This record gives sequence, structure tokens and C-alpha cells, in this order.
Amino acid sequence: MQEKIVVTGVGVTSPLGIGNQDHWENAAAGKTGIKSITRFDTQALPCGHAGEVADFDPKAWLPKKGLRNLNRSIIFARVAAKLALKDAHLSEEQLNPSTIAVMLGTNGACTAHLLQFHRDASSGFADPLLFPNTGISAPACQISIFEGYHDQTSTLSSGHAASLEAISVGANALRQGGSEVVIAGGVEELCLETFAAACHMGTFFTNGMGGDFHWPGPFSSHGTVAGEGSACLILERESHAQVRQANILAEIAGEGIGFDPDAFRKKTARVELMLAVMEEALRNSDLKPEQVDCVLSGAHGDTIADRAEAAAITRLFGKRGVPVIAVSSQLGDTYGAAGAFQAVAAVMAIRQQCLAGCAPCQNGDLDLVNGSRECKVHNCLLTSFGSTGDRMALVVRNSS
Amino acid sequence: MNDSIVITGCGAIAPNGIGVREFWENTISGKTGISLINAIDPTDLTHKFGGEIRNFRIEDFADDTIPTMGRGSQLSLAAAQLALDDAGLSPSDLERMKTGVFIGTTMGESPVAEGLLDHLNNGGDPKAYAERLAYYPVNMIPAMVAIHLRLTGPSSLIPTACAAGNYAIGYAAEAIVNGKADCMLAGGVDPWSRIAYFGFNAMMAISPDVCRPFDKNRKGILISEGAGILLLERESRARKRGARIYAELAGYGIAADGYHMTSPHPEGRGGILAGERALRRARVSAEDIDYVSAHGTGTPANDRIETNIIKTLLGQSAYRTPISSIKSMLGHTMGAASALESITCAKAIETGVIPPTINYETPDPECDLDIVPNRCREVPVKVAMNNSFAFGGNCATLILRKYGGN
Repeated sequence: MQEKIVVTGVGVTSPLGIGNQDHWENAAAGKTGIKSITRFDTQALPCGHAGEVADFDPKAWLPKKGLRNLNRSIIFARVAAKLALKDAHLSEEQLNPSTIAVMLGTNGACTAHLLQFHRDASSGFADPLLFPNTGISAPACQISIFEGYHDQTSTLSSGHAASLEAISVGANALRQGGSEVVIAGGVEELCLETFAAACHMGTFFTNGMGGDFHWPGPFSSHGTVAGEGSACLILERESHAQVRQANILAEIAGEGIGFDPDAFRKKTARVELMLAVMEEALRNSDLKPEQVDCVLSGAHGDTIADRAEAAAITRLFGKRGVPVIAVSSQLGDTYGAAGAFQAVAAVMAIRQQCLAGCAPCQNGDLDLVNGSRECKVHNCLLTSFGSTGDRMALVVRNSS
Repeated sequence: MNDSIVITGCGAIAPNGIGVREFWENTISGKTGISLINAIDPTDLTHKFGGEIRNFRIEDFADDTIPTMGRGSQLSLAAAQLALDDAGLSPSDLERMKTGVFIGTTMGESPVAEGLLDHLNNGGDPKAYAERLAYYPVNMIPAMVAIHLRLTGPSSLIPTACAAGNYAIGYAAEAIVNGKADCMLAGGVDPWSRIAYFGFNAMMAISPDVCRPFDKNRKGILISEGAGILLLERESRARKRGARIYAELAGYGIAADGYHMTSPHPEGRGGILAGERALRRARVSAEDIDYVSAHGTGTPANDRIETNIIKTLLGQSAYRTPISSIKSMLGHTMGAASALESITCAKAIETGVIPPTINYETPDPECDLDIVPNRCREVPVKVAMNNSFAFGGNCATLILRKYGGN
């Protein structure tokens, strides 16, 4: 019998707030983190809104030294990791640095910095201090460098499933015994060039006539909205957490994983493949569908994937058979970080015994949580279904 | 459980050879793949050499490919197809199996980003480049392989830079052991990157002429491109279908320096921990290692610290164990490096030949191990160790063992 892997702390830097309290209060109040983009000029673009992390002074959490060369992805991730370690009450003395692993999911971290480096280099000035931080692995590496950890430090880019994969690989490292603590999460940043390209490809919801921007959210067939930020969770073996009398917040249970090879090219999404992955996650968690209290969905407004996911959820749970929350409705599409945000939402829902979501546009077949709803929350099913074809599901549940 | 993970197929696309046969023949012959750089006007460059692959065409490997996909995806797809062919697996075989793909990289689809900036610098309309940029996100690389080969298993990109191939192979083995896939395509890729050239050049890490690992006068790396993909499956499955088994993936170890983004830890603590973990998992001792494929980039720091790492891991055996770096011939293929080096270990086990470290002229007392200078050597190899160390202190070591050799 494999030992349970549990969550003992969470930390976020999100469009809803920096730190767990701000983030959760705004999430629970159904607020949206989607607003006008301030980081770059979107005048010439058909879309100017996203889930942007508000400017904040990282010196509140990180020492000043070296901050100048760090880009937003690195800062988001380092602050989220710091917050998570604090939430887990892991003190310096308790930690053996060769047993603290870092696993982050991301597809586009540091891209803005990379493009800036290339622009400068092409004009004859290549900054050697900038270059090392332009790699996608930089946020995870900078966490381990800053904290002095030298266990596994990995980054995974699996499309929308990236941070669920990071959580999964982290859980596996704990089960193998080499690692004692894993910081598992995800990070993404808004970047003008990739944002502009997505605009031109018609990916985003556009408001059309100006006025207030109200995205109807995923499952409404209205396109998607970009997002950014970082969420980190502290994972440990249950026995390790119990020995140090940690506050155990949730358990990382079973998963299902696969890929839909036709999704991208044929612009389809097979319901059977999504269903298979969800059923595999439940089977690996010894759960029946009727035991699931909430689906924390990774749906982000990709019309084809959303429709298929709605059909898969309905097939598995029945029409309006389970409450569904899509975190993207409040954060935007946080891509490789979405899974980590979903996991944090599950942990918070279990902690508070309350479901909170924002769903201005209801979908007939789904029970989309709009506002806050106190209820028993024990078992949550997380989904990641991206248009590239990534398919993953994970169960996060109350550990007791 | 004794159903070990074995390597049954290899696909190599390297500056000195396309396909494992050509790559291996040239590698043991000490044939270099380095030439005058083409991607950047060499008249502007002080360091003019690199390992570009000139005669690669995706049409030679796959039909009906997406024309806008990046070169990293193309190299990966081609190497994956070569690995499948080498393993004797047809498309209808694949339909019956859950096969995933894990690929490591340093720069991802760097030329796509470079192309965007060229386009904008030439006054191009961003809209006209938008569709190309959709293929830039790094996860598109394994996705393109999975899409073209119709794979239904887990698909991930592991961007842990110059150690990424070994990470991908280690994690792929875990995926099979944990029942997430029946078999896995695993390895690494990097297309030739101008950004990498500018970056390493700014750090003064590029050699002005050749790459000479462990030589007293070594001056750095050469930027190269390539792809290496291995097919991994359970021993029982391989035997059932009568597959040729190159070697067993006996163990892997991953750790970090936790020290600095570019300078290796002075005592090599990440490399030592990764190596110790690999040895432990593989249940081999220092004396069992018959060959070490070094990370051997040819920088003053790496080769010196790696020598100490090997001495720490192997103790007295270090002086009796041949060590070589194929980067002397390929240059640094970045994300592909450790994958091509894993293929090298598999071939060394299969053939009993160890490739040389070429360009070696002047011994360095700080790198005083047997680095197989300039000429290959015939030595039976039962167990091989493959080291890789990356930016940010990411370290991964693989141990391969002759099948039936424990």
C-alpha cells in the first residue's frame, strides 16, 4: 500500500492577489482578476484585458540582492514558493537541503526576457547577466538556488497539464523516498509578443464595442482570456508531515493521463479520451463518480475543448450532477500554471468546506458554481484538457 | 519488481551523422561535425564555428507534416521516427499501445522567436507571423511528435537545459513503471540557436576554434544542434515481441547544485548527488563502471569540476575507468546532448567500442583521468555511466547496463 502524499502549505501570486489571504478572499467573493492590461500597450490589438498580476514590491518577500536581473516569472515563482513554505510552517532547522525538491510546470516562463535579450544582442549588446535567466527552467532553479536546496529541481512543460504533471512527478519523488519535501506548482507570465499573436489568431474573447469588459467565462463558447501568476504547494509523505505535526490540508490521490493526437490538427476533442482520463483518476483513487464533490476544471474558453469537457462531465456525473468550478473565470487562462491554481482552489475549498466560483454565464448541462456555496467538500477532481491535445486528471481530497 | 526498463530503439540526428549508423561510425572514427557557422554572417563573428546540420529535411522522415512547425519539432519527429524504425515498431503496432513522448531541450523553438524579431525588424506586420508563433511554446515539440505519430500516452517537454535529455529518459522510465504508458519515446533536441550563440558568447564561453574537453588549453563550447530519441519499454514486452535490446536502463539520479545559475558548484555537489543516486538505484558499485560518457563541455570550469565529481563517485576506480566526451566531435547539442550521449553508451555496450575525446593535445594536471584521447578503444562495456550538468545546477546521471549482464 503506497504511502499517502499530502499538502501541508500553499502560496500564490495571482491576478486575485498576492498571498493566500488576498487571493482566497477575492476568490470566495466571486471577484474577477481580469482587468485592463497595464504592463504593455494593447492599443493596436483587438483585446486589452487579461488576468494580470498587479505590480507589487518583491522586496516584501525576497532580499534585494540580485533582484534586478530577475524577470516576472522568476519573481512570481519565488514569492509563491516562499509563501507556501511559510504556510507549511517549515522552518530552517527542519529542512535538509538535499531532500527538498522543486517541480514547476510552465510553457512560457521568462519569454519576455528572452526576446528582450535577443533584441539587445542583435543590436550588439548581449547582457551576460540577463542570459541565464531567460530559460524556462530558471524559475525552478532560482528557487533552489535562493533557498540552497540541492535535491531534484525540475521543470515540466506539458501544455495545460504542466503543473498537474509537476505535482504528479513531485508525488512520485516522495514515494521513491529520496525527497522529503517537494515544492510543486506552476508559473506563467503575460508577454506582449505571444499575447499579440494569440489576439491575431482570434483566440481571445473581444469586447467588440468598448465599455466594460465582461468575459462570460469558459463553457460559454466565447473564446478565452489570458492569465498569469504562480501557485505552489508543499507536498510531503503523510508520515513525514505527522512526525513534525504539520497541518495536513489535503491529499494528492490518483491521476489519469493521456493525449488526443487529433485535437490540434483536426480542431476536435474526443469526449471518450477525456472521459477515460477522468475515470482513470477516479479508479486510481478508489472513488466512484457519486463520491466526487466538485470538479475543479481547467476549462479556459477553448470552445471545442470546453464543449467536449462539458459532455464528458455530464456523461460521468449526470446532467448538473456535480458542482463545477473553472478557475480561469477569475484568473484568465494561466496555461501551464492552471493545474497548480486548481489544486490550490481544491485545498482551500476543502479547508473552508465551501465552494466559490464566478460563472456569469450558465451552461445548461453543468452546475457552474456562481458565488459561494457552503457544502461538504471531500473529494475534488481536477481536469487539464488543452487544445494541443494534453489530457490529464488528478484527485485532490481531504486526507482524513 | 524485476521487469526492468530496456532500450530497444535509437534515433540520432547529429552534426556528424544522421541515423544511428552514420552517427556511430563517425563518432568512433573521431569525425567532427563542426563547420563554419551559417546562421549568422561569419564575417561579424570572432568565434566562427559551430555544429549546424546542413542536410536535414523533414520530408526524408515523415509525410504530410505541418509546414509551420518549428525546426525543433522537425528534428524531434525525425529522430522519433528513426527510433521507432530501429525498434521495429510500425504505425499499426503503435495503435495497439499507449506510447508517450518526453523530450528535453535548452532553447526550444528558438529559431521561431528569432524569426519573429527578424520579421519585425524588417518592418513586417506582426499579424503575418502570428500563425508561426503559435508553434513557439515549448510544449509544442513533444506535441508535434505525438500528433504526427498518433500517440496517446503522456506528452511532456522537460526544459532543464543541457541535462534535459537524461531527465526525459529517467522520467520516461518512471512513466512506464507507474503504468502511465506501455512504452515511451524519450530524449532531447535543440535546433541551432542564435540566441544561445549570443548568450554563451557574452559569457565568453565559446571556443575560438575547436572544442577540446579536458585539454589544458580548452576555451569553451561550440554551439550545435541535434536530436536523440530512445525507445524505452518493459523487458517483458520487448522479449515478447522479439525486439533487439540495446541495454537496460539500470538507474538514474537527478539532483541540483542549488548554487548559481551558470557557475557550477565548486565541489560539484549536484553532480555527486545525482551520480550517487544513479549508482544506488542501479545497484552497481564504482568498480562496475566500464565507461563514463562525460558531460565534458570543454569549458575550464566544467571539465575540472567534473573530474573531481568522477573521482568522488568512483574513488580509486576513477583512474582505471575510461572517460570520453563526444562534445569534442559534436560540439554542444544542448538539450540533445545527454540523449545522444545515452545512445553512445547504448552503442558502446552493444559493440564494445568507446568513442574518443578528440582535439586533445596538452594534458591538464587538474583533469588527469583516462579521457581516451583522440582514438577510439575496444573495451567490453557492461555498465556505462552518462553524466550531464546544466544551467541553474540541474544534474542528471543515467546508468546503462548490458542486458543479461547482471
